[in-house]
Amino acid sequence: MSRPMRAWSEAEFDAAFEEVTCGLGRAERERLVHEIGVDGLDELELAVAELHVAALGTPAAPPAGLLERVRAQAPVAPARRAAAPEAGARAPRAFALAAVGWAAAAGLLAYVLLRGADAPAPEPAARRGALLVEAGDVARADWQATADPLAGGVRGDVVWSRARQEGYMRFASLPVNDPRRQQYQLWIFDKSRPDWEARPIDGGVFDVRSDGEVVVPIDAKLHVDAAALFAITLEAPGGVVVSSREHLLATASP
Amino acid sequence: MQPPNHEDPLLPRVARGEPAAVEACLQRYAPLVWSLARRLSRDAATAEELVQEIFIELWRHAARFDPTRSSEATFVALIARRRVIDRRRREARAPTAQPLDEALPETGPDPLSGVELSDEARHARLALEQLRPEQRRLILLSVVDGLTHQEIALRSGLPLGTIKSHIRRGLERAAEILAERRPGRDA
Repeated sequence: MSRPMRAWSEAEFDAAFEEVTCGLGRAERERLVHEIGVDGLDELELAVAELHVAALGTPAAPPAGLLERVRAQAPVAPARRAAAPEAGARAPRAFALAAVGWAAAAGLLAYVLLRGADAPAPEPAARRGALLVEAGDVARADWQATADPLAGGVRGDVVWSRARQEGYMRFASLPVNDPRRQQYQLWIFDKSRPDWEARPIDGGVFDVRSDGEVVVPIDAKLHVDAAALFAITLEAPGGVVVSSREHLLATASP
Repeated sequence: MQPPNHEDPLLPRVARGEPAAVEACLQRYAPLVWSLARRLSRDAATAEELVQEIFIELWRHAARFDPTRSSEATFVALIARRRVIDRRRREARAPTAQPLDEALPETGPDPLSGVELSDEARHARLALEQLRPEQRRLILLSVVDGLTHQEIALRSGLPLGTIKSHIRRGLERAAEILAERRPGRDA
């Protein structure tokens, strides 16, 4: 149940305002939402966004070339992403469906076909399976653990479709993390980008909450044109913009 | 420049996958997104990366736009602010490079003068104008320029408690005025 803004304590308001202007840490945000309710926080965030639009003044034109870069990342049909393979795509070496095993793919296809139209969103493992079945340009690579003792002998693979800008990581033996202290973060090295070795694309942060196999969707923050390397690091909660690579745990090269 | 107009929303068409709507969305909102990101970023290169991330996020979540809850421009600003804040959270650094005297002078030209505004933005401007000048100035230093309470205190010399108090009272009042005029609540 949410409480109106006027009913918030001073500390609750200060925390809510900090969340919508600077961003709290995950644990602090969870505590705040528990106290004031998510609707109240949403209402404050909306008011702040409205005031921001009104107060920006005359919007400035973006720099030359920026719109072209944004346009290059635009989906042709965002509501139903194109699944067709791209002829001559500059993707890393693609691995055919056979590489992942027909039996597994067939089982996953059956799962996808048997799902009702109003079924809840499938789990990452099923979505991974659907991607392998439906996309024709899936690149796959095995994780190679580094010598970092925190890597825990990780095994598994990563799959990525450039056409769909969708991918999944599969891990076994990646140690369970405490998200209040550290989180895993994926980095995608896109060799089509300038300075790509120094500035990989943020592929999202994630947690491993249980032993055994886990499948994690990739959350690339930018369009990935030519993935040359995927890398996992261990970072502060929420991840970082630039990794020190102090704990580089695993890499995979398609 | 065409002002954002909630009567002609583009995002539902983007969600349906209309290529023309994607381009129109870019044309309409790129200046808003760029201005917002640039003001809240420490340098132009970071702002340019953010603009790309924001539009990807916008296209992914276009179907979530609810015209009964906000105007399209506000939804775009909401997505943009979330992305900027998320990046700053990960950078764990002070948010802005804008000096105080460039942020919003207490006296001087109205930053909105001469700007053609959508209905909702006009309402938001009216809400701001109904606030006490100190409340308005401090809210905008936080919201538009991304300064923390501590940064405002350091630069303005005002006590932290005074800053927090002005911001809370001003935002409560502004939120009430805005809530009365949201698109879905118009008579």
